Parts: sequence; structure tokens; C-alpha cells
Amino acid sequence: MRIPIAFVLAGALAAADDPFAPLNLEAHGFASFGYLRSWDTPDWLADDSGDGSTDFWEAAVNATARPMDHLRLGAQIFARDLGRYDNGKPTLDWAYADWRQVDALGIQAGRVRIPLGLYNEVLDVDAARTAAFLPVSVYPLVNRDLFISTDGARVYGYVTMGDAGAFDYSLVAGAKRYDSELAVGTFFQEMGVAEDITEIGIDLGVGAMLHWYTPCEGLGLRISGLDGHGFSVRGISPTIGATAELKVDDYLLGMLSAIYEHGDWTVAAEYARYHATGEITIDPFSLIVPYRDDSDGGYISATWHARPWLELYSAGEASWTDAHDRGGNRILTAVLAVNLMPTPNWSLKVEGRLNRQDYVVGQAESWQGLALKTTVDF
Amino acid sequence: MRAVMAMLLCAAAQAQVALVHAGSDVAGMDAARVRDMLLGRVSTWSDGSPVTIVLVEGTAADASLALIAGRDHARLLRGWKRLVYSGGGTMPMVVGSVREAQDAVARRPGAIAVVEEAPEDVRLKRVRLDGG
Repeated sequence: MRIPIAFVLAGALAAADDPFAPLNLEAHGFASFGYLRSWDTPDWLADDSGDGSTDFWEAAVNATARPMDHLRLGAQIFARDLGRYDNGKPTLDWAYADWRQVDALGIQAGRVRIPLGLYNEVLDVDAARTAAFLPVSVYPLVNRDLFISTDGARVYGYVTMGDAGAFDYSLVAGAKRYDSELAVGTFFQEMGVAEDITEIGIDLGVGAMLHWYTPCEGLGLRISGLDGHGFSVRGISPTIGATAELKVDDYLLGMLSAIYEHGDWTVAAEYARYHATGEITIDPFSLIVPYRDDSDGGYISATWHARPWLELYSAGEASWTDAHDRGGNRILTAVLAVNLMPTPNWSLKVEGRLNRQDYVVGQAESWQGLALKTTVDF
Repeated sequence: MRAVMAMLLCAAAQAQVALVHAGSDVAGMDAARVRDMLLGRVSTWSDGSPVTIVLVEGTAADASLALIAGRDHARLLRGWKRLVYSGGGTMPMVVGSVREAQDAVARRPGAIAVVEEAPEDVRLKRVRLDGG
């Protein structure tokens, strides 16, 4: 008599007390719902933000296992709807095997996070911040996918240096093909590369991060950067019967960060600088349009952890389209936010953003944004 | 937070205690090392086994945490969520009393809890910490 192997396995599992216990499994997740409202601009992130929009939610679920010492396996699925971006499409956020031999040396392989700035690795983690949004001047809301992760490997570690403090370091390398239906595709569509974006990719991304926990208690300094080599975007524009390809040999991003934590206060400041030159080829017209990104931005923020259930946040943000032209196109933003945490797993956030955009000298406009957000996690 | 700070002033007068699973190597362990564990910077023991943080709820335990890690219980847990949702770690256990913390640490290789004081327990190693 032949017994199906599935029954044998099921029988073996049923006989065990807890067959999953050796895996040390954990599952966590969060869900956020929000509301966007803008004044003096009709379409801040959502097309109907001028009337108020509830087109704003995000959710994630992850599972991790520690089947043996040193080794951790895990993956997270993430979905977001931010007005006209992402539209709730699930994406594999991270998924990797992590071997931590000692504090000073760990290796990850799979879809790994890119450690840029203080917060790129926790870009979606609402619990990691007081405000509803991270500073937009450094962590763009729309093209978040571009530099958040890569399919490759990462080497990292933590090294203590006695009186000199301690260091976190990280080196990452990999390639990535992006889902053009996500926000990054919409971003290049809105930039005018093509009517429909069909393909986005980086052939080889190489990044590095060094964080110094200085001997001055609470003060951390970080430098990080990424070279996205072989960056390309392809698309089609049916109305004119054309295809377009944006190619950049090296898309560079460098960041400087400082954070100071003292008592109930956290003060952070960061600066980000992009540099890329390339061209957009439009066929069949053989038209070549130069492409250049020399943008930069920064912010300074202060967070008061007033009570275990209450945090207050303020920030000043600034970003320039051209770092060589401070009088040109720029956006200045003042941010105020409150985070109420009725329980350890539930937060309610209110964020106000006052924006002023200068196009050229003498031409400016102002608008205001309000974001309400509630998040539960487990 | 004021209550925590008041407790802090009292707690500062005496050393805190790290309760560690009996199988863990505590050689060279000091307040700075325990702080690194509590903040998630250090995630393994010298033998490679993972560190499991056990947090005790309550004002006294908050004061001990604040003294060693510079953060209260709620803020520390929010920091750990950063690690959990970015794939960098697993959540600490939260228990309601020092006795429960002792039991939890005794059951889990690699577990550690920081408390102001705890009765002797043959199942555990105790490491006195001089402060943050």
C-alpha cells in the first residue's frame, strides 16, 4: 500500500509537541489609515486633497525565524496607497537570510535594505518617527522605492573603540528591477519621460554607511552614500507613437547626518545631495534630451518625548532643484506634528506643513498641508 | 516622565542588576555593553546565540532602563519596532514583574533583563551595573 508522503509528513508533524518551536518564529505587522487635506493647492499627493482625501493608507506584515544561532531569516510584504501613488499594490519590501557571526560582522543576502541617512532603512515604519512623514526634503515621498532596497548582499557590523566611542558600518551591493506600476513609475511619468513607464532598473547599486557613536554621550554622526550604476527608465508614449529611454551611467546620492539624544529630546539634522547626468532618447525621432539631477535638500528637527504617550515634533526643511542655484527653484517647509499613543501599539498623529515654493526670483507660491494618521501594530 | 526622573534620582544612588541566563558568558559585561544590547546595537552573545531582551513593566523598572539605556520602556519599545519592521531584530519580551522576568530569563538561553534589584536565583547569573 502506498501512503502519500503528505500524510506521512502530516502524521510526523502531529506527533511532535510543537514542530515550529525550533524555528523561533515571530510575525508582526502594522496598518495605517490617514487623511490628507491641502489649502492653496488642489492636489498635494492626492488629486482631491483640496477637498480632503482619505486615499492614504499603508500596511505591512512580516515573519522572521531563527532556526539556529547566528542565523535569522525573514521577509516583509508592504503595500501603500498615497493619493495617486502606489494604489495599494503589495510589494516584497525585504527578504533575506542574515548570518551574524559576531557583533563586528554580519552578512545578509536577498532583498536587503540600503542604509542611507538615519531613516532610509525604516522609511515605512510609522512607529520610528513622531511625524506622519519623514522630512520630505531628504526622504522623498514619491520615489521612495528607488533607493530603499536592492537585490544582493550586505555586510555590516558594530565595533566598539573604547574611549573613541563605537561605529556601525554597512556595505551593500546589488541590482534591482522596479515595478513600474509603483510610485517610482508614476514619478518618472510625471517628470515627462513617457506617458507609460514600462521598465526601471539599476544594474549595480553600491552603497556604504558609517555611523559614529561619538564619545559625547547621545551624539551620533553618519555619512552614507550610494552609486546606482547603469540606471535606466524605459517607457512609451502612444499618443505620439514614441518610445523613450532615460539612461544614467551613475546616479549618485550622498548624505550627511547628525543626531543628538539627550533626556527627553532628540535633535536631528541631515543633508542629501543627488548627482546624475544622462540623456533621454526618444525614438523613432532620434531625439536626445539631456537629463541632469543636481538637487539637494536638508532639514533640522527637534522631537520632545514629553510623556510615554505624547511626543511633539517640529522641523524646518529645504530643498533645491539645482544645488548650484540657491536663488532658483526651491521649497521651504515648516513642520509641526503631534503624536499621541493611547496604547503602546496605537498611535494618532497630526501633522501640519507650511510650504513656500520659489520658482525664480520674484515668483513664489505658498500652500499648506494637513495629514492625520492612525497606526496600529502588533 | 517626571515620575521616572524622580525614580532615576533614587536609582542612581545604587547599581542596577542585569539578570542573565545561566548559560551566557558574562565576562567583560558592563553597563555600556548592556546599553548596546537594550538599544539593539548588539544582538548576539560571544557564543553567537541571539540576545533576547526581557523588559519589566513598572516605574521602578523604567528608572533602571532609563539609567542604563537613557530611555523609558515605551521609547525603548518604539526603537525596537524600527528594528523589527526593517528586519533587523525581534521584539523584546514584556513581563509584569521582576519575578516573571527571572522566570523568563531562566527559560531562555541568551535572555537578559535589567532591574533595580532582584532576589537571589540559582537559575540566573547576576551582573551589577555601575550606571549609564
